[in-house]
Amino acid sequence: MRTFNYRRRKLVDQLMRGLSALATGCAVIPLIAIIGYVLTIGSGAMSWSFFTDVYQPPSNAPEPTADAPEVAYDPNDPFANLTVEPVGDPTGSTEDVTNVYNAAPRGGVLHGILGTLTIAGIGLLFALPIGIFAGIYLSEFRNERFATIVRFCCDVLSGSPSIVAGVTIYVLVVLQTQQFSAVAGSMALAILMIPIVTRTTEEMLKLVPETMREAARGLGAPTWYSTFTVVLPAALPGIVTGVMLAFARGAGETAPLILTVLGSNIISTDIFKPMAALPLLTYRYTESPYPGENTQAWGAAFVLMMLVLLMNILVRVATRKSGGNSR
Amino acid sequence: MSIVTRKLRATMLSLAIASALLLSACSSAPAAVEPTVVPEVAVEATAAPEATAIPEPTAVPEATATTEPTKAPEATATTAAEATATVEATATMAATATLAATQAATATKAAMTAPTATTAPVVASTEWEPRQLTAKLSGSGASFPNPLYQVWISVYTKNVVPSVQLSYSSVGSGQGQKDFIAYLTDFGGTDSAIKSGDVESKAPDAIHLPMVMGGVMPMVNIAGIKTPLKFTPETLAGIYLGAITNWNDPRLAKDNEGVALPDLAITPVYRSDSSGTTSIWTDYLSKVSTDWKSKVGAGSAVSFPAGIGASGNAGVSATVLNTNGAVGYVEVGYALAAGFPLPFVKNASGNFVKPETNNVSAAANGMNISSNPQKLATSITNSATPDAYPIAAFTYILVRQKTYTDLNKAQALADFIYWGLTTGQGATVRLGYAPLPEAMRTASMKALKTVTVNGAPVIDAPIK
Repeated sequence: MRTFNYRRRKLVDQLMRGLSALATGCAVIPLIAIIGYVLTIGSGAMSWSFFTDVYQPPSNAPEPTADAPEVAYDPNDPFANLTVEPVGDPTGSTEDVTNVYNAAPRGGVLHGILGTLTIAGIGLLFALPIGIFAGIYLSEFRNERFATIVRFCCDVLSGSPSIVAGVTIYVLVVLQTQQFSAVAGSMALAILMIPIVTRTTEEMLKLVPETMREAARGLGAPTWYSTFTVVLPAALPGIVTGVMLAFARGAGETAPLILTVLGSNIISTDIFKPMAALPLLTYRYTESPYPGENTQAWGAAFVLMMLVLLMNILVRVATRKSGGNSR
Repeated sequence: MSIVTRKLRATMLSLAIASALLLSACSSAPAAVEPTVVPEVAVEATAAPEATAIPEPTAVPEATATTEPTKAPEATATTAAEATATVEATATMAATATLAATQAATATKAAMTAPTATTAPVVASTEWEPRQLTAKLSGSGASFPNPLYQVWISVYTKNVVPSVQLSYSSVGSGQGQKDFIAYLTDFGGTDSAIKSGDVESKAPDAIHLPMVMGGVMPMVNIAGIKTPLKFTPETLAGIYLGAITNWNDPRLAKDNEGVALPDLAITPVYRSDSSGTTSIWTDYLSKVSTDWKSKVGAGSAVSFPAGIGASGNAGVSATVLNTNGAVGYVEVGYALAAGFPLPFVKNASGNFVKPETNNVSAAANGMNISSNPQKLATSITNSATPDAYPIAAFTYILVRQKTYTDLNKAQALADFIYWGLTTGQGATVRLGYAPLPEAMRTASMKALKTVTVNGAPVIDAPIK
């Protein structure tokens, strides 16, 4: 009887363990599939110029070589680099027709990379002070009634669809200033970032042992002093992780940007004007009639993923060092 | 009690900090937007039309040399005019100063002979060249002309006027109209005219400038059939009304003798989003089918009685590609990109015509062009011209006739559009677009010349 019971328990244990492993596997499959898919298709767009060049309109001009350099600009025929043959009816087979539609992708997404970093970066500037201070309030004064309300609002905000943030800023800022701008996009992203920063800051501060606060208080430090010099540094690595999460969330958003920054095909240095962003490029390129640009859409998605990943790794490495020193 | 007050004080303090931060974040945007306008426009020399505002023609050479403030203030009126000119105008290169002077001269002459330089075409003998203005222009709108506009912008900003920054985002005709009406963009792009009610209430001075033409075609995917099919207005309306449901329908077979149409269900694919393409397609079907007109009607988004929806030209194209037996209407370029044959559609004269560029252009032949620059947007579907492809349309750039406030920007935009209507037309056929017929191109240029800022025309260029 005992052996049977034991065997049954072992069996159930193994079964449940297997199921858990299976579920974990299922959770990882989409991630691997997405990365793999984006990588295999997006790699078709990868080249050095993809990272160093901005948008180039379609052209079926041959790649410039040493023997045949690029066609110089001719005022009498400004479009000399386009096909001279009119784009006609390919009647079925596209192989022998080299029209501009099946030309290789040209140009790159440098404007999108810079734009995403700028827009998400400014968004973080808006979100950081608000989010961190709100997080401190929620953690250090957690029992106040107002804190409960704020916490609830934060959760509602973080669950609201991103397009709502876009529409709000569109009405409040874009329509008022009569200008699509990178800053408006940053504000929309800040709305999405604030609850993430707030809640992670709160959770991280809660993890700081109460004894540390008591020790500080025991030495005569006022609350603000102990918060800034004892509690906050102790929770810094966790807070930075939250900030990175917020940045990644902001960098990947498309919907709020469509309504606020509009997009651009050039490197724009003016943050009060429309600007390019990688998610926008991905979205617009998928709509393009040119297969070359459709490939670039995958490329842009890949660059975006890598960008967020790289930022994450960099910040992790940086905070691991400084976190160790401060403690 | 002390605990209560301390708690209260802490709450107040944190609230104050939070609200201060919020306020600063919110107020920084509108406050900061305005000053950016100033550095853009404030530079030294002048461009042509300001000179027209100065009464004495002798003031023209002076105006080009306003960089020296040492000039004796002989007439206060002139200096005031000069001052405004300096604020609004921007750097012209020394080499183009003479050009500006000649343009100014022609401008004043035109203003003297005909105060409304709109009706009488001013044919100047001098070769027109775009002014080297510094401006940032942004537009949004139709996706159909996007590749062409991008080519124009690329060549124009790289080789013709490097100091101008232009950006056009293809967000669709509907969104482009909305952005333009809300004064969010400097110019708009659209395949269909703005609803007349919207024009009157929101943008009463909007002008539709035809830039180029395009065709909408049925894109068919039947496995094994690569020959271009022939359609009549009746079969197209029948398919989209759900009356013709199989490819072996006798009505289709009658037109396509020699093609073995299989026993296969037809899946019509339509645009689920509001689009200029749908507007052209339904406008055509409403003209050729009374059934369609009464049951569905025309518009940029209608409720289709049969078929499945897909978003965007690219979405329709992809759905057709992946569905055996599907037919979808797309701009011609999308079908070319996917390597699909161009079909024949029977036109009003009874000829089966392919949407080749010359046939699309022919659709605008013989049309009545309104002399009112605000009424240039017209439907040209089902054209009576014998070789016209019947499902054709103009695509327009939207500009404001009177409400541009920044002269410099308006001039830079007018120069670009004028360039597109002249030199730029050379790129159309190479990219698969149909160029504007001569009469329409002229009308478009004339309409462009009616654009004014504070009463002064922004462009004086020959109609050629």
